[in-house]
Amino acid sequence: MLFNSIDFAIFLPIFFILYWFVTNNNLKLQNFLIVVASYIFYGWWDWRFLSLIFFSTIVDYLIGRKLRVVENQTKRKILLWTSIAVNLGFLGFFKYYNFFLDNFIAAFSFFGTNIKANSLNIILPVGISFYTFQTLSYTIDVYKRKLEPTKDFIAFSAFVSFFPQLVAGPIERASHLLPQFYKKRVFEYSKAVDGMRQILWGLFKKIVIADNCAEYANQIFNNSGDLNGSTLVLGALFFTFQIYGDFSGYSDIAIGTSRLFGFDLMRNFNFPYFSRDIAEFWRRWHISLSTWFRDYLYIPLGGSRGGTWMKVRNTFIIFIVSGFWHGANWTFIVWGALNAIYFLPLLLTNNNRNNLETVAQGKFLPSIKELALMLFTFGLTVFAWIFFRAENINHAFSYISEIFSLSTFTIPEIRPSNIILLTMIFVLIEWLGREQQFAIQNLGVKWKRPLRFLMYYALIALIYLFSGKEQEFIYFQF
Amino acid sequence: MTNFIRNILIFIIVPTIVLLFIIVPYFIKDPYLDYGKKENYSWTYFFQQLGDISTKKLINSTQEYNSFVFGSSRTTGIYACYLNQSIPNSSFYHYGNWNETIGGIYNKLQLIDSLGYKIENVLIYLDTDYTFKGEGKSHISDHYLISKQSKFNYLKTHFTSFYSNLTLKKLKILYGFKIDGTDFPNWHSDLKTNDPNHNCNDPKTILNYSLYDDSEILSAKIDSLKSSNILFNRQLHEEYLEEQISDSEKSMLIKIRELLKKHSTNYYFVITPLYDQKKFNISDQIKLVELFGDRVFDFSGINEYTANEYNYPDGKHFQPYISKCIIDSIIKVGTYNFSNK
Repeated sequence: MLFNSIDFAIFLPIFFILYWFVTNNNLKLQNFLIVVASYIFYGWWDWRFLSLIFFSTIVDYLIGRKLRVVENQTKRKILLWTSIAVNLGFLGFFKYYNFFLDNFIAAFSFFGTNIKANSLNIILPVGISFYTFQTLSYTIDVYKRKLEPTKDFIAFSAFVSFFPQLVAGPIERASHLLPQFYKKRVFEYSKAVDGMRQILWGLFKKIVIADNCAEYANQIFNNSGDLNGSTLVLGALFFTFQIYGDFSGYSDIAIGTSRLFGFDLMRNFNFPYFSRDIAEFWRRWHISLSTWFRDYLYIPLGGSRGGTWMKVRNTFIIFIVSGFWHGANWTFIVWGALNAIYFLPLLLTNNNRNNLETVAQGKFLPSIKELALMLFTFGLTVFAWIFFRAENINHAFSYISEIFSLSTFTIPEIRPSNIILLTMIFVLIEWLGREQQFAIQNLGVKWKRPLRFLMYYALIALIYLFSGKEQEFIYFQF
Repeated sequence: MTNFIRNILIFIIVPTIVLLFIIVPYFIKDPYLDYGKKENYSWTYFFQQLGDISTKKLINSTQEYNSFVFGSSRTTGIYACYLNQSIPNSSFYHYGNWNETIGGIYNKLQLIDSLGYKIENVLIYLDTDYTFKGEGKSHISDHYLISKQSKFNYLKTHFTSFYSNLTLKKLKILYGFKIDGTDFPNWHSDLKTNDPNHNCNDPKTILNYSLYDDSEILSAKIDSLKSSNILFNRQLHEEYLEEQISDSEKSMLIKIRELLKKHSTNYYFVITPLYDQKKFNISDQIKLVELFGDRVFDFSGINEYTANEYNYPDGKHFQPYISKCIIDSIIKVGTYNFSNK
């Protein structure tokens, strides 16, 4: 079920009524209802893959229970690696089987040996990368004794399948989300209203910004061979805003929806395009994934504690794995490696934690230096997104070579002025709200009700009038 | 919680009132003619599907029909009243559709059969650019009894497609304002034959049927289509089309034959003369002939009808007099008797 669908618009109020009014605030019943609703939500897309979630849930629940009683370190390790093997096994099969097979065949044919093997027609289960990482965090934390394993199977099932963040995150840490399923939930008016506002803003980002930008980004990337450099620059910019609107919009809707039911999900985006360096960008972009890799991969590898070689190696590993997490294509690996190259100079010169505060805090405008740094970082990000969006490496290189040609100094062949204007207004609103959780969090809060409602109506009207051609959320494919 | 619910209810009052003003007229005006029986089933708005309207008209009709015309918008050049004159004891229903597929034709025949009509004569127009491009499926916008979807889904699709692109003109339609232009063709179908946009009771209709339109207005329009390359330059030598009848479409044709056989129908399959002058593929031709014998009449390729560019007022359709010529030439062959085959 998509957040931006009529189906979800009907599903959400029904679930709200059942959750708050029919369960009589009974915690067990509420958790059970969450599981049922989450399975309906996921099964709406393809019910066959519910068995995967259910299997992962059972495996990690049982391993968690076993880890509670087993003291022998070897046995504990075996249990941990069983969980990792099952979860990553599913992920590897559904997401990476064909990639490895194709590259294996290509490597052999490079050395003159032809191997015949057929690729499988595998459907990628939506959200598999997200819930796999979420359940892994549980087993690893239990193994490290950072988290008490749960006895409550329903609460654990609800944690794994919690519908607002099941298919595209934020990837929650078990230590943060699981305890929320044990606590009695109380409806908080301010939290619910805040959640509704965040849902509205998320829908605007997705339907108006991302879907409209997607139409032109697709058109330009799909016909890049026939278009001039300036149009390709515009295409890269459209994709830059598409992916941000799409993914952060989804996260906003997920977080907002959770708040309606008394849950707090972790923040996933913190205005990343206003970053002054790449390290800051990665502290603000897809925060739940970056911190997951930091906690479960970077730090166990030694982090930045070792020598220069260790720092370089670990940085490359984390960025390349992060790229590969997005998809089985060399383009994602290059995208990850490119970001590692951007990041390394900051790390090696100990400048990776320079910009921890929000840019131009308390001010309306940034300084010239801040503006220059933001534009530079934004440019690097846009450049890297070309690899992320391209069909393959050759496509990315031909795209970039046209950008670095004289044709970039000509007028773009495609220039939808209304979408450009809309995106600029969006950037302005985001800039003005950059010190909040989401851009319109405080906008109009103190206004009188009719005026505040008028703002909501205007936003809804904008969503209706400027809705782009419906596109699936990009991150569903990851 | 009470406060929250109260505020939500207050918030939705205004949109609810606005929505009521927009949605209630939809069910009153009923632009797709979905609810209840109507007096007039004519193609009125571009968003309507002709086949859908024709199906509704047939279902609600009290007329006795024993003969049917099937095919795409190119059948608008077929005058059912002329067929009634030409084939003794026939009473034709013009069951045309936009972009008709072979699957759509079969499903319509099946519906007619299930409604208890006797199918004595059938004239089917086959287009080389569309009829065999649907993999044996009917058109997605066809009536739910033809497209085999649920009635609820069919009504929901009409409702959502009407509002998915709500324009001022559509609002005017809902409130009964007169509009013209491209959204409001307002054709008047013949009450009995369902012939689109002409009246069979008008004596001039048949008289003018054989007339070639050489008016200056039409010539100028065609010249402009030529200059904009919509009427493109054609090959001097005849080209053959690629094979297009798939296995699923062939099985549809077999089913059509079985139905026609059941009714001992006198039938005519016409491959229409299109502007591109491309000849129907020989393998496909053989498939049709194997099933329908000498009742397959091929007018594709370079011939007297396709030679004249001025026969194509918009590049896609041909002048009605060509349909009359086709009818005259095929009727000569005589009626078909299944029992002899």
